[in-house]
Order: sequence, then structure tokens, then C-alpha cells
Amino acid sequence: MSLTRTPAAAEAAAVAVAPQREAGRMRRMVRGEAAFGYLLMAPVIIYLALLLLYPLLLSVWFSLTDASTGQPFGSWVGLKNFTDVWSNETFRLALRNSFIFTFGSEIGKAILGTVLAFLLLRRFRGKKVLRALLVLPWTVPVALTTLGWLLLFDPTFSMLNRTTSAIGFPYHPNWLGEPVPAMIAIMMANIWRGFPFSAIILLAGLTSVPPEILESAALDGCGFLRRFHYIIVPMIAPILFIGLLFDLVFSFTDLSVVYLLTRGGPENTTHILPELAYQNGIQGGDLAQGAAISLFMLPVFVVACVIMLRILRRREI
Amino acid sequence: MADDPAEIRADAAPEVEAVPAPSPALPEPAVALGGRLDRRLLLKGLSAGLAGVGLAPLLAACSSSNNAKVTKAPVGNEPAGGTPAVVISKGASLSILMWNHFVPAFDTYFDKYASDWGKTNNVNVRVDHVDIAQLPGRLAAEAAAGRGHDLFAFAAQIQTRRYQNRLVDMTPLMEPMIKAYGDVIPIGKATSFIDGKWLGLPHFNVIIPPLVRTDLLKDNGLKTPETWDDVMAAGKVLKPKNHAAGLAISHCNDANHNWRAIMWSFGASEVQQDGKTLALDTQEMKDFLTWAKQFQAEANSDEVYAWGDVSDNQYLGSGTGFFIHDAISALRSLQGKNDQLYNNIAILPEMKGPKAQLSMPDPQVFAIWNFTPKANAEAASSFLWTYMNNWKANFIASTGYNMPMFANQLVKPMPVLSEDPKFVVMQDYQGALLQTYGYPGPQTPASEDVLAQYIIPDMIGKLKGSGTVEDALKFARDQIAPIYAKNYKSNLTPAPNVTAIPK
Repeated sequence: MSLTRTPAAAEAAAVAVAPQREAGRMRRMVRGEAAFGYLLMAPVIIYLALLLLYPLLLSVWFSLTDASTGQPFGSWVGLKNFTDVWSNETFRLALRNSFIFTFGSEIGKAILGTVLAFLLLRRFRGKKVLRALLVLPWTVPVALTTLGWLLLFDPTFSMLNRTTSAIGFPYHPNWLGEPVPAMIAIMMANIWRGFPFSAIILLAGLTSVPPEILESAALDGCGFLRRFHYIIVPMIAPILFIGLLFDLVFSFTDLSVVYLLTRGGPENTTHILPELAYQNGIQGGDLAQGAAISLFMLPVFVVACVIMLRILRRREI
Repeated sequence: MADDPAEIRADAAPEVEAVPAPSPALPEPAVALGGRLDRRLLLKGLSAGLAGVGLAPLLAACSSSNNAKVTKAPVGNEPAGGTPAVVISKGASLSILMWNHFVPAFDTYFDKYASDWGKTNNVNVRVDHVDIAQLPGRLAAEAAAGRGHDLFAFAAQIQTRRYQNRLVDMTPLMEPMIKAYGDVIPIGKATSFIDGKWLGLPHFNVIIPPLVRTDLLKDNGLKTPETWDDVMAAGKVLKPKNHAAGLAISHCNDANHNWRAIMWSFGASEVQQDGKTLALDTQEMKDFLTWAKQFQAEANSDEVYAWGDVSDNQYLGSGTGFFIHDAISALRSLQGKNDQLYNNIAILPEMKGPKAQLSMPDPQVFAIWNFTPKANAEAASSFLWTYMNNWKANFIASTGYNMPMFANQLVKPMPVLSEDPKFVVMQDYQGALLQTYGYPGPQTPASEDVLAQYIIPDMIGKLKGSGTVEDALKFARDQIAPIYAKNYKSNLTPAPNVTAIPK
């Protein structure tokens, strides 16, 4: 048997090896690309793990122990904190209020945000200045803006009541001292803060709708509402959903407006979950109960996120 | 500094600011490893220091007869041979966490004092101020992180028992202080003396007296109230004339201390003396709630359900309210701005109830974390010793707001308060008259939780309109019982040792 290879055989062998080499090279490249991809993703994964996952797991741990601010390493009590808070009247009121506060605020923001967005679509002098000014409520620190609302609702010096009184309006509630007006008051402050954000999201979507589609629809006899319902909303739905999701999370977790305006009063009627969790967990020192209260928000977020993202995905497909 | 007591007035405070903080003589290092004060060393040091400064003038500083002399040279300002109270290791720094004082001039004074002390002792000092309501949250974060300010103040919500395992034992600092300035009044012990150790250093009390419009009483032929029933009687006459009383029934600190003071004066309380057994279902509590319902309907303002901590001040300042129950800052804020109204407002002794006369001030207590680095803990101790020995200047800077908690510092005539007839009565706010949440038991994490959740004001709120005494009691029971049950089932928060509090 000859040990030497003929040129033809060598060529044939080379031709046979080439695809294998190419495949290997491709595999290495793919592996390299994947590794590079993971490398690029690493900061986000580390960020999420450190700033979201770790606190979340810590909250879960706290809620299953009797941890307090003085003894953060509590001992295991199982689901007792959850059953305890569920049996508490104040907690159930706060849970109900959280939904009222969130959905009430969202409706207000959606209406005002839509109106504002359409107004900002029009051409007029000083539009840019006005647009900048309208974003102020959302950008100014919440403590500052809420103090303004506190003055408006002040039981002794309420500017709101003085104004309505001057124009002959007969109803002058103790805004922050009666349950229903207090709830309306905190929603008003939250809507005022948040509707510019809704307007900007909507405006971004509206500007992406080709004007010729709207013009042809108008020529075909579509009125404003039909154009909005059948053309604009479906076209900007992804942006709307993402905006709505953000806004829901902001409202459901916003403790500052309630804390600064009512601290959950009068008689616990304006407590919402994040604010109650702060009061009991941090001010009261009962970390375990505070964690249990705040974790009641988690299923709500998960369900809302899953529903919205699924709808979005279906639309994209 | 003023040479004569008559010269020591509120407006003299800026002068006090200019005085640099000296260093009392204490030759020995007094802080042991791990941040815990070494008692023996500190006692030795303090004894030497006291001898060096001169014990006689120090004690004279506390006596009324030698007040003028002491004012001229308060012990804290005595030259002390340049030896610091506690030898501070090289590289020490001192960060202090305070709240935003209701007398802003006091913050200015304190910050400058601390800065000057730092310069004198070669210590880099930083003072941070936060809103009083933010303190518990900030301290919780520091305790959880195991790092934070070296020295901090508990204010209103004194959490010494909650953080008892995280605080430096300040007994070595307190013992010579008690020797020099007398026993600590009961509220100071209740807030700082935990299971046989001084875990806090009682700084001062913010007294909460009744403030009443004398002109309105006179115009309506009403006598100056001495009891809570007198306030009710006056309110019944004045509320229909748009001059109702103003006691907050809301989620604010004022509501927490005012309604507790009245509740105790009826002989009622949330808990018994053991600090564990609930005391809600008593005839005294029912009497108190019946009184509160009537008071709200007939004598108190209807606005109070929305009030914050400054609302009653504003209410009094608006000229509407005839009676509030709050710190003297409500009055001070009118001084020089609305003198007519200021002159028509009197500070009264605490109102008496059917069973007792009790008041709930807002105390402030200094504490040091046990995770504070050794050198910084030394600096904190040294600073505290010097600062607390300068108590008279501190008191003047606060315009009489910061009532000391050591018996000999409360001897009449006190600076500032004794010089203005309007404020003379404030000197009587001391001793067992002053109690804190948890009374008649000790202050506990459970009573602190009840305070933080505003359960007592909410119980009063339940009496609104058609609300009954039974409704209010049921609410309080449902809210308070689980809190106490939880705290005392857990081994982590042992039942307080009441007998350990020295009488």
C-alpha cells in the first residue's frame, strides 16, 4: 500500500475537508457571537439581578420571617404575615384603594393626555414653549408639586375652596379630611403629575401615523372619532400599550402623593399598598409586614404585564 | 455671652453661636475596641476632667442662686487645658444625623458648634439634617446597611429599644453626667435606659403645652381652663362663634401626642404597666372616648381631620382658634409678626383630667451605632460630653424650646423661660408630668408601631358622625391586639423589663 497520496486524491480530500473546516469556523464564529452577545447583555443582567432580583428575593424572605428594622434577620414564620395582613381591615381598604387610585388616575390621565396630545399636534405660535411647560408637572420633584396641592387642599386656607366659593359654587369639602374628597384629591394630584407623560407618549404615536391615510379616510367621510378608533388607535397600539403599562406601574407604586397629602388619613381611608407598606414596614419598624403588604402588588403587576405583552405580541404577528 | 441672666434672651442666640467648642480635660482614651465605651477609663477620664474644669462652677451652673455667674462662663466653655474629653484616635471623623429643628436658628447654632468643635479637635465633622418624619426610615436603612452616621438623634419616635442590639452602651458617659446634672427625669429614662443600660443620651424634650386665647375667654366671660372639661366648656361657647379649639385628629405627630395626653388624664391607656397586657376595655377608656366624641362635636374644629403638624400653628396664627395644644413654636412664630395676637395668647399648665395630669412631649435622644468605627465613636463621645456640658448655651440658642432632661438643669429660674412672664410656666413641665408612648408601661417596639400607625388618633376619628364608642374600641382592639401579640410572641423582641428602670 502506497503511503504517498496522488495530487488528485489530495485535491479530493481537500475538497471534502473544506466544508468541515467551514462548518467548524462557522460554529466557532457562532459560539463567539453568542458569547459576545452574552457579554453585551451582561450589564443588563447584572443590573437586573442586583437592583431588581435581589431586593425582590429579600422582600420575599422578609415576608416569611418576623424581621423588624431592629432585627433584620428574623426567624421563619411561614405565611403568617400574609394571613395577618389579609385579616386586617386597614390592609383590605388599602388594597381596594390601590385599584381605585390606579384605575381612576389612569382614566383621568388617558382623557387629559389625549386631549393635550391632539392640541399639541396643531400648529400655533409658542407651541414649543407650551410643550416644555406642560411637561413640568412630570419633571419637577414630586415633593415640590405635591406641596402645591397641599396648599390648594388646605383645610383652613384652601385656595380651591376660596375660588369655588367666590364663583358661588355651593360645595366646599374638607378635601383632605373627608374620605371621598380625600381620595379624589390624591387622584387629582396624581393625574396632574402624570397626564403630560401620557400626552407625550400619545403624541409620539400620533406623529408616526402617515397623514395621507388620515386624509384619505377623511375624504371617505370618516369623522374624527371613527378615524381615531379605526385608524389611529390600531396603528399606535404598541406605543399606547407600553405607555399604559408604564403608567399603571407608576400609579400603583406611587407612595409619594399619598404620603405627602394624607399619610393614609382620614381614618386610613386613603391608604394605598405602597404607602401602607412604608408606614408599617419602615416607620413602624415591622419589616416583615411591610414586605408582605408590598408583595401583594406583585401578582397584579405580573398579570397586567403578561396580558399587555401578549396582546402586543399578537398584534405584531 | 451675656454677663447677666437678664441679657440672655432669644435674640442672644447668635452670640452663642460664635463661641467655639472647647475640650474638657479627659486624659485617658475612653472608648474600647468595637466602639463600646470603656466604662472604667471614661469614668477616670471624666473625673479628672471634672476636677480640671472645676466641679464647683459646674454644679453652680445648675443652681439657681449662682445663675448669673454660670451664664458668664458655662462649663462647656471653660478652658480645659486643651485635653479632649476622650482621646480621639488619629484619622477620626464625625458624621452627625439631626432632624430639621422647628427653631431653624438652633440648627444654625448646632452646625456651627459642631464645626467649631471639629476644628478645635482636628476632627472632620459633617452634620446632616432630615425632616423629622424621615428619621425612622433613614435610621432603618443605616441599621440594615450596618453603616451610616456616627452619631444620630432619635426624635419623637425614640427607637432605643428597637435598636437595642445595635447601639453603643453610653452608661460610662451618662454616669458622670448624672453626677453633675442630677437624675434623669422619667421620660428620659423611659426613652434611653433600656434593660439596665443607657443606650441613648437624653438630649431634650419639646414641651407640648396648651396655648389659649385669653382675649376670647375674657370677652365671653369664660375662666382660664385648668381641666380638659374646662376646655370643653369654653369650646361649647366659642365653636358656634367660629373660634373652636384645634386638636388634630389625623395622621400627624400632634394628634399622636395630644390624644394620648388626654387619654392618660382620664386614667385610660392602650396597655398596662407591664407593657404587654392591653388596657383598652376599661371604663376609663369608655369615659375618655365619650368625652372625645362630645369634644369633637361641640368644641373642636371640623377641619382637624386633615391637619398636619403645622396646621394647628396656622390655625392659631389665623386668629380663629381659641385653644391648641402644641409646642411654643406656634407662639414664637407670631412674635414680632403679629404682636397683638401674640400678646393675647397664654401658655398654660397642662390640663387636668378626671384621674391625672399628664403631658406627652417629643423627646430627642442621642445615640451611637455599635458598628461605628472606633475612632469615630471616640469622636462622637467626646463631642457629646463637650456639647452636653454646654447645655445652657444650647438651651438659649433654641429659645427655650429644648427642655433639658436632667433634674438639676430644670431648676428655676431657667434661662430664657424665667425672663419672660409668658414662658415662666414652661419651667413646671418636668418630672413625672411628662410621659411618653407606651405609658404607663415602658416604651416598646409594639407601642412604637401603634404610634407609627396613628391608631389612637384613628380611634378618635371613628367617633365622627354616627360612630360610637364601641365602634372606636373595636377598631382599636382589632388594630392594636395583633401588634402586641406579634411583638411578644417573638423571641426577638423580649418583653420589656419594667423593673429595670431606676426610680
